[in-house]
Amino acid sequence: MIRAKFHIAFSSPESSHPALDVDTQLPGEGVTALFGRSGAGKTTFLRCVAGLEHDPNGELHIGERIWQNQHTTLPCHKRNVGYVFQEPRLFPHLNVEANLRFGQRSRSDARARDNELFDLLDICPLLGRPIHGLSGGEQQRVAIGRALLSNPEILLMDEPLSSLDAPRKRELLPYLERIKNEAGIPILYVSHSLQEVGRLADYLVVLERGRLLTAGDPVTILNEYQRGSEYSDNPSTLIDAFISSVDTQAHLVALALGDQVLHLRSDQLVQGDNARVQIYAKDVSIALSEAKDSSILNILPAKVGAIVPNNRDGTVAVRLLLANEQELISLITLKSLHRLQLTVGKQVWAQIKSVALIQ
Amino acid sequence: MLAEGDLQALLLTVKLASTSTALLMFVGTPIAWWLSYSTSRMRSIVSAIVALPLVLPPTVLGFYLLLAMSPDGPVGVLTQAVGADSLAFTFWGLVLGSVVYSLPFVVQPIHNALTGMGKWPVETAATLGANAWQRFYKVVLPMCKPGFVTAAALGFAHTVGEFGVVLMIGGNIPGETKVASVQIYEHVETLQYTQAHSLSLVMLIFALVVLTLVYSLNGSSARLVRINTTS
Repeated sequence: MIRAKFHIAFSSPESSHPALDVDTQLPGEGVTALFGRSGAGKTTFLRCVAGLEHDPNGELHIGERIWQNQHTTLPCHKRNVGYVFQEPRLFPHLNVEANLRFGQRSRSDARARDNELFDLLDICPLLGRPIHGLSGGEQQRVAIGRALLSNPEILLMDEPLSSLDAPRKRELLPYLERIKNEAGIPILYVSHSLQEVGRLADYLVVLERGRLLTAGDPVTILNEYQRGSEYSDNPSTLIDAFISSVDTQAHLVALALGDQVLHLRSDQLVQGDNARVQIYAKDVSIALSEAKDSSILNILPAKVGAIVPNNRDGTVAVRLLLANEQELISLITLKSLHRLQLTVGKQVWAQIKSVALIQ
Repeated sequence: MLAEGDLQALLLTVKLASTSTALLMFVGTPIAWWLSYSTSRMRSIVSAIVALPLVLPPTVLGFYLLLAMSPDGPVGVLTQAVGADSLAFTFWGLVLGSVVYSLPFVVQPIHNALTGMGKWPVETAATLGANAWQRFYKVVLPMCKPGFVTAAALGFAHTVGEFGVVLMIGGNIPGETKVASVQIYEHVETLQYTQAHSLSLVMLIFALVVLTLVYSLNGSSARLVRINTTS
């Protein structure tokens, strides 16, 4: 369990970081995502945890260890953190290996473990190289390796993908997923990307103007967030479920949604696995009868829960309730809404064109 | 070629410049660090005090230093308290004068280098467990090397070129305070133009060599040298 209480009244003239006022407990394992718009205090929170920002009355307990209370405040270099910043922040005068070993707290007998980490991040071929000449993605991988090699008790990641372009982001995300599964330490992950949070988070904290807006199960919160389409141009629904059956011949697995199932193409998942899937609202269409002659695999009965028109672009977000109270958003046109004469409570069929496995 | 006493004056100059430079690096680095990272309101006044020797006539500076070293002055009181003689007209008096006189030439390049580097390397090193001393020698020193080299070279060269302050607080005691610049002055005073010529040439070549070395060692920070030598 992590207990954190920080109150940073106003930003010092030197730093442009916004004020922060939180008092919360976070899980001591898995990925806790700190989500919010820029200026919400996410980075300030991480800096307080690392000891780079100082609140004289702050409190911070990492499990049994006290990093800050009324009596003591550990300086940054005595806190066992791994900090991955937005930019890689590699030291330009050191090569890749020297950067990696800069903060190494483990002794040489841990070499085998180091090599495992290098393999995990695919940085073995880079070890002897200078920093300039590495791509942005490679640099960030080295930065992550450097943070982990310091053998931290907690990993702080401040939008580690934000300085990368879309292809590099896609390249790095799987590494983050591996870290999440292998590191065995709590990770605080700052992001304003729904995509990253959906893929990585086990627990979600939403900050707004320095205050904690809500915290809890990421799927519930993110779905809540996307209910009105005003937050995201491309709303989606996240679903956590377990695999109820596997059809290896068809390369399909079935996700249990109450007594219904959602089919998903996957060769990796086995029965009993937990999976998180994302269904984009634009991939969900609505029919009044069950189409037997469609190529669409996932057609589920549903009830119209709410209709939210978006006057700007003529689309309508229709909230559908599946049999097990699972909600699904469908994005249709105003014209279709009128043609189907949809009203709240009406029984329809949700036709789901694609289901993306994200966790 | 060099007159009797010229070599002694040159050696004394080198000794004075080396001692002063070593001290300047010790004193200038923390001042530059503080100027770069402190948010104190005192920053402007400290910057101004450090920069004073750039605008004051060396004689003014030397005059005040002389007063300070007198038995009633703050430095004089201090030296008496530890049982030492007055610093006026001694080698160590000259060292003190040189440190004050050349301070801006050492602080400025280091300050520029630190500001250019930014705070991130220090913060990142701290998150990786480096204590203050390790942050300095493992990160700041190598990353700001051109700034430190420039500072040392300028501090050295500027001390070698010092005249007014030396004359005010040191006089011209051979082997103790008679440095090359004073020796040249004396040659000219006594109309020994040949000796003045040869010693001046040595100084000219020396200055040229030092500056060329600085420019070629750090192309990037040569800009700093230009700023400082014109100010």
